[in-house]
Amino acid sequence: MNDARAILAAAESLLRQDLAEHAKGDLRYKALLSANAVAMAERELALSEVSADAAVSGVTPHAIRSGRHDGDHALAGAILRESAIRAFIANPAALTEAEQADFLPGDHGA
Amino acid sequence: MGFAGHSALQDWLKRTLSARTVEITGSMLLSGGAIQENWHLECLVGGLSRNFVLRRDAAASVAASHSRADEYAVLSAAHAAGVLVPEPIGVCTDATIIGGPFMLVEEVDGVGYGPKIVRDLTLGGDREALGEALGRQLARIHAIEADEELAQILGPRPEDPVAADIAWLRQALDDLGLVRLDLELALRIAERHAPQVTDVVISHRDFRTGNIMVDERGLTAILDWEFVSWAEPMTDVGWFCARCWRFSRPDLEAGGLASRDAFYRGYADESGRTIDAARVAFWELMAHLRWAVIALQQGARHASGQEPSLHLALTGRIADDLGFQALKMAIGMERGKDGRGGKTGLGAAAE
Repeated sequence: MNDARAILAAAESLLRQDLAEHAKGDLRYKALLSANAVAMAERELALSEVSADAAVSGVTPHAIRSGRHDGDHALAGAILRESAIRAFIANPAALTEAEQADFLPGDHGA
Repeated sequence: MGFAGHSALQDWLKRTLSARTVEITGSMLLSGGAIQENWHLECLVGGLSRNFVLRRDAAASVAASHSRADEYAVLSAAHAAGVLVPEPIGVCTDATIIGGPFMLVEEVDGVGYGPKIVRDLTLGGDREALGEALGRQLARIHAIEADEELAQILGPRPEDPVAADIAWLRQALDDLGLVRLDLELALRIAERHAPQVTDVVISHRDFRTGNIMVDERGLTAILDWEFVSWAEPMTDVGWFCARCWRFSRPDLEAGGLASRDAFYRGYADESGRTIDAARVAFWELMAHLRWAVIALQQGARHASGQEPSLHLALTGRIADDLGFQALKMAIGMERGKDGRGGKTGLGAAAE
């Protein structure tokens, strides 16, 4: 049985290769936009099981704003990792290859 | 819908231009403008052909932008100060003409699509000269004096525009109801390393490659005056140079168009100000945060059901990339200031 990721990958390929390749102008733009959206959803699904860092749980905007976490390098590192994964989901090119190796679980990355 | 033959608008044009006859022979919605709609109008004014751009609010607008009437007053002040802008023709706050306020300017020739300007080297003339010209234009903007009308629109000159910007960003995140720890932390680090404000000037606040027009010879106009406000002068410099606005040429640090040196040279020559690299770096970080928050606001227009659009939904996700880049910059800034230059621990991760 194909799982959701495989189905999304097939949909992306259909949008990007079959539709966008043969479309022009606004239709091509919309096919590519949709392909990007489907690919993003696929990456989000693939990375959804990355467990949240315990260091980040319970941290609030208020606490950061009030300076309670100033100079907390461990927390900064944990927030940066979560941010990196989120950025990769939105746009894989947001991370360099070295960053992908550093921040993503083993079987992900470009 | 279009405006060809629109009789109320034709009458308004006739009065505004003091023309005997005005006929709108064609109109077209121009590309771009998530916040405003820009319409190209082809007219016969007293029998002679003239083209205009009509600008009005799109379905929903971003909180920080001015009304059309205010934007028109700002544009007129810039025009009077010798900034290269489309000639202002008139503004109308009477909603009975076309259903809402609008402003009208003379159409300027050229290309205004940032990614294309960056990519297509047949546009913009010599790129180093273009960078220098943009620096000079920005200096002229910063030299605009606030007359009574402008002072009223812009409000009192803030003592500390950095604190005002930080407060605006936090309030915007609160209003969106979003918890974004990467943006919060980057903003907190920025706050702790904020430069001392010594100078506050009228600033464009959206001065970037996506808001200029060029033809094959060079710059033809600076556009989009709806975010003008008081700011520290390097705010606009950082916004223009920020990596997130360089499109396909991140190596060309002045907006993907020219070297930073060329842009700085034009600005420094025209303004007499010295450019402090650390100050600009701070504003480049703030640029990423501001663009991230605006992207989230655009995404929220889709998420709220107010304006369902895949384009807006994906624009919202640009904030994810921006948040990561901003936090890396902030951590780098903190490490630099603390004198911890080595590639250790977090430092290595943030390289």
